[in-house]
Amino acid sequence: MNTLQTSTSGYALDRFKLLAAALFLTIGTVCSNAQFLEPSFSFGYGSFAMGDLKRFQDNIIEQVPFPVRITDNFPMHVTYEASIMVPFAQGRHKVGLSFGSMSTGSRANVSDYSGSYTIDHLVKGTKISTNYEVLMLKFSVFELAFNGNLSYLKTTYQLQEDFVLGDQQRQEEVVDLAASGFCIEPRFKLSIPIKRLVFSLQAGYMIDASSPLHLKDDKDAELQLDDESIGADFSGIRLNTVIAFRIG
Amino acid sequence: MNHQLYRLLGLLILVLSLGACDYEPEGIYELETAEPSLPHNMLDGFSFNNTVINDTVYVHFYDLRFYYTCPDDDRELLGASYAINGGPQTKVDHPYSSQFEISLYQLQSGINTITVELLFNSGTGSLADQVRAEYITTQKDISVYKVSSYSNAAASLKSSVVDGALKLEWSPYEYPDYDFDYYEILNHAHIDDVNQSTYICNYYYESLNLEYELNIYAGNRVVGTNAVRVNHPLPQLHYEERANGFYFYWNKSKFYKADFKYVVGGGYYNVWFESSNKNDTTFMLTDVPFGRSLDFNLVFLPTITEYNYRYEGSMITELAAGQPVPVELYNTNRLMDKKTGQVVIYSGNHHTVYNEIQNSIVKEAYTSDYPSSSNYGAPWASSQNGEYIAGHCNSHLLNLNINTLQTERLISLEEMRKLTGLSYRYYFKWCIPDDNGLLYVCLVDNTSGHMNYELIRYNPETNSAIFLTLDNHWLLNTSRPQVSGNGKYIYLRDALFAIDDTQCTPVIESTEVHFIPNKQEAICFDYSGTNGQRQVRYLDLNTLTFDEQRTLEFDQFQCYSLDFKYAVVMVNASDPTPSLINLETGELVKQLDNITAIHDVFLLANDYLYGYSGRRMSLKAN
Repeated sequence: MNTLQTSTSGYALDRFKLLAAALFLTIGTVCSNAQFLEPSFSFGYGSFAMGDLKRFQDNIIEQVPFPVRITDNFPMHVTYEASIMVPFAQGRHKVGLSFGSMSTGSRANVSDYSGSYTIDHLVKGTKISTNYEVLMLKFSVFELAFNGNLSYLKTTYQLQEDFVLGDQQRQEEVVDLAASGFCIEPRFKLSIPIKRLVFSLQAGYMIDASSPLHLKDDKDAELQLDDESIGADFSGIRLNTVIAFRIG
Repeated sequence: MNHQLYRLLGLLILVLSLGACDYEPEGIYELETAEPSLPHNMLDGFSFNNTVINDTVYVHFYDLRFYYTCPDDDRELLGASYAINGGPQTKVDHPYSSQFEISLYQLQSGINTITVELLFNSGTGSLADQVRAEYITTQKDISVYKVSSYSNAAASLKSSVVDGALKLEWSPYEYPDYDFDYYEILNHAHIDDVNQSTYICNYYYESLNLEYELNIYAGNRVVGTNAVRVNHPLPQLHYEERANGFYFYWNKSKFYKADFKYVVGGGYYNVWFESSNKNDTTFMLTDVPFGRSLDFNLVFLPTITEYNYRYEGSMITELAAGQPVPVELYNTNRLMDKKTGQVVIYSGNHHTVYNEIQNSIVKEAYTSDYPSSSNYGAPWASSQNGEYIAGHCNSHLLNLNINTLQTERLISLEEMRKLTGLSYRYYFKWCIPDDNGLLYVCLVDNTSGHMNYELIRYNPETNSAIFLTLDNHWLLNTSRPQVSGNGKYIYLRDALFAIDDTQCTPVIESTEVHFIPNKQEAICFDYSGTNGQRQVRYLDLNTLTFDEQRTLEFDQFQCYSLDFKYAVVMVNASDPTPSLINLETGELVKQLDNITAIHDVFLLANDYLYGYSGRRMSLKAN
């Protein structure tokens, strides 16, 4: 059964948050004083594990009084990210900050001439990251770099129920939860610099270690399924295209 | 540098616009649905708390209670309503309880049609069906028969004689398959078979005068009741006087299956004859006591213990040994026809005209009504000239036609109350006629805390009534009132009153008064003689003076004849021998020395005093 239950967060997580904040502050200070800047924008597709929420969805379907079917089950969806990097050591190393977003969800539905019944799960993640990039190899016009980041991920989750019968409709937001935590995303980046523009392809894997979902105003009230706290898991493959500007 | 900043700004705008491209779920699963339909086994869901016979529901004492359970698992009753005999639809308040009741008063007797409309979920399997927002309706007509709370079957109860037994028969209960419980013949039979509508009573015999009450039980209640009174007179007892005594004979009983004996008994419980079997219908009486009239009652003596108390009096005949002198006890069960001299003997509604001279029965009949002797009132009262004989049977004033021995109802108690304005609490106490046919009627209110008496003079010819007033209405509480032939005097409780228009005024007190028929004279008995002896005096009703010349005194005065010509007396205390005295002349007619049972004389007098069934005494004249 899925429930919301209260739990106590760990002391180690607080220390990690403190370290991440210090890292953000340091890199932010570096960016604000740098002579060269390289802002960039990337977008692409990502897959999302969402194992807990899939189980949660199945559990809900078992309980609704209609023979609903899953028509959309946390599919791959667009991810995008904006970043600003500061190159140093002749451009072999870069550090910077980035802001990114991603979303996915699912739908279970049944419809006929008399109406429809829909259960939607909407999951959205917003992250702010510290980036470090190192140039690994240059050949011909290509540059191959390794990019790693540490992100603070803010997740929102909504469960919506929509029941239409004839000309009557009842739409209800059953659950509105949130989660937060850190994630890391190692990736490789193949770039072609053309004057001040840099076009890149980037591939990586995101590892999400966020906390379980909880009420927005009560972090201790966590969503549980079969007596286990569950959360949104954005872990998955990331494929992006990147365009960057070199300024300075 | 500015261009670069613009590019950076453009990138930010692009990021924000892409932020609007959040995931939107999509997809539709189309559900297959079926056509709307009624439950397959819909008709199996009806049930009733009442009896159902051939698709008709019978309701009797209890309300119609209707149940419906949807027999198909996947179907559900969403609502119900009903209409009675095409009337407006009534919605059932709680349709999911699937039951409703219709009160008995809403139904008419006989066939009713209840139209029940049921709402089921549509059965399409659609979302609306699954949330029970989609339904399909159907109607069913239910035939309901309201059984009358009363059965007419008992009204047909009648009796007859079949093969020496009494047969009761009635119509079978109208609804044999419904809620019949049993027939009951009260105190006699319990019959469970609804088709058995006869009952044979082998133990009935003549004169029982029994009431057989049939009760029909259905639904644990009495739905029909009726009673018939079975009254078959006893065979007539005959006798012939023969040289050696009296020969008695009678016909055999037609109820020969009953187990009984014939018994002929006499006054004071003398048993003259008891048969050894039912074929003994004669006996010879040779030892007849002299000087007494004798009663011979033919009765049936049942041999079954529980019926012992049931045998009743039978035909009475009388005879006397020797030549009778008409010395009569004035009693409550005898009435002299003053024109013919014949005596009418009656008990209940059995009346017999008896010829004393020939010692035979002239006529006998059962009257439809018979006078009540309650409250010590004389049942029949005769006018002084014998033209009118009146009485009351509690509910009516009656007139007896002595020639036909038939009674006539003159006025009912209810009508008399309306006529006089008396309340419903007043009842007849006594009634006497005068020579003109006017009735002097006493009515009493004995239901309130104190007695109230009213005296009415009622004219049956004009159906009019006049109140007669007297100062002390308590004097109306008497058992032997008398009215003079001309209606000018009335005797009440040791006092003689003159009737002046509507006022009764006492003229003679502390004496027993009897009006002499066809004379303006009364004979008075009292204790005003010397040393408290009984005194007999004659009162002239014109002058209201006593004829002192004819005054007689006796030590004891036992009984006298109906015409007040004779009396049995003790002349003095020292001689206990009774004497027969001519009251008109004062002469001694006969010393009754042959009557040894002087005690009987006192008993007879006693009977008179208390108004019990009287006896006739005859005396040998010489």
